[in-house]
Amino acid sequence: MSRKPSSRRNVVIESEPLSIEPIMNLFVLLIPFLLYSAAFITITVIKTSLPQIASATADASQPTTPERSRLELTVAITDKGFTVAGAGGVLKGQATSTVAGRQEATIPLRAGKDYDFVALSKIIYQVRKQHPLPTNPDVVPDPDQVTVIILPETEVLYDTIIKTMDATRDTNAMSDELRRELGIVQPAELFENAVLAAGIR
Amino acid sequence: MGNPRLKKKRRAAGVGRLNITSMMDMMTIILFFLLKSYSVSEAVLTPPKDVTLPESTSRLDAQKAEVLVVSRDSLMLDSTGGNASVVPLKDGLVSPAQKKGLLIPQLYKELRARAELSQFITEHSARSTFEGKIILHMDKDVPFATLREVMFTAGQADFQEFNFTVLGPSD
Repeated sequence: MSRKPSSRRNVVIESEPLSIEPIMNLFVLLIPFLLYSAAFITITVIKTSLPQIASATADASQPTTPERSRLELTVAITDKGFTVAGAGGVLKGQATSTVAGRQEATIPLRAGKDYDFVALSKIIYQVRKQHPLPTNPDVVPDPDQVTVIILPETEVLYDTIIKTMDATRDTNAMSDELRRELGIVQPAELFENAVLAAGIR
Repeated sequence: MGNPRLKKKRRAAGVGRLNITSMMDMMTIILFFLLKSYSVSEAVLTPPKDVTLPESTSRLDAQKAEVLVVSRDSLMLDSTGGNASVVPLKDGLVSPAQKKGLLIPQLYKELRARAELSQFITEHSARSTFEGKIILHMDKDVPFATLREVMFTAGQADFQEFNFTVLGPSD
């Protein structure tokens, strides 16, 4: 006697289409939330502070950097260009003459009208190479080692001041070509703390 | 035997399922795009309409602080009800009648009031601290003379730290 054929063979398994409505609901909720927190224009900040006025008594109690190693890097922005100075004196540019008793800029204007940020980056990088930061990451550098004082003339535009801060802060503002020329492989900090001084006039 | 007319009518009335696969594709693309531009920052900064910010390579995020807007026409303090114009400017310069030396008295009054309020809250609440910070939205064509006066006035009103807003690198 033959066995009864299995009824399983005749069972048709109906495939339900995948329900994607819950995922849709999730997406509809996620999109407005992400739209709210999306940043299509990146607004960042540059931190700066007012120059500190140190009193003589406070100075006496604080250990100070020896006088010979102080840097006091200053970048003056004038209608002639950039003048880079330090505790040791003013860096001289190509033109060493003075006009009407006023010293020529270290980096004169390009074609008499544009500020030469590339040349400024180069000079600041060379200054940093001559005055390197401590290699030990646990050693906090002296504020003087990371500070640049920016001294603009009153007519200098805000845009020029920001670009000067960029050129003195790190090597990110340099073009790839300039970085290759200077042999910079990784981005490096130059003088991260820019202080705006009261101005020349 | 069924009526063939009735059968046809019944078939036409059958409810078909909405095909949302293409909409899903679109939603997924939008979701990835928005996830890419998602930003987590303590302070949400909206650039003012009449101010063109300078471009910079800085990548620092802003922290919450008082917001000061300097356009070529006016100097405004951001308030809860919108921007309150404090001092009118001409070509980005403060007129001599509006200042005493480097101090801009009207701006000083407003900033001092805010500093005193913040200091009062700090004294009575352990959760808030007065750090004397200012976020400065400034037009790129404003001369340093105005910036110097604004910084001097803010300094007199106990605001010593400045966050200059700039357009950061896009990548």
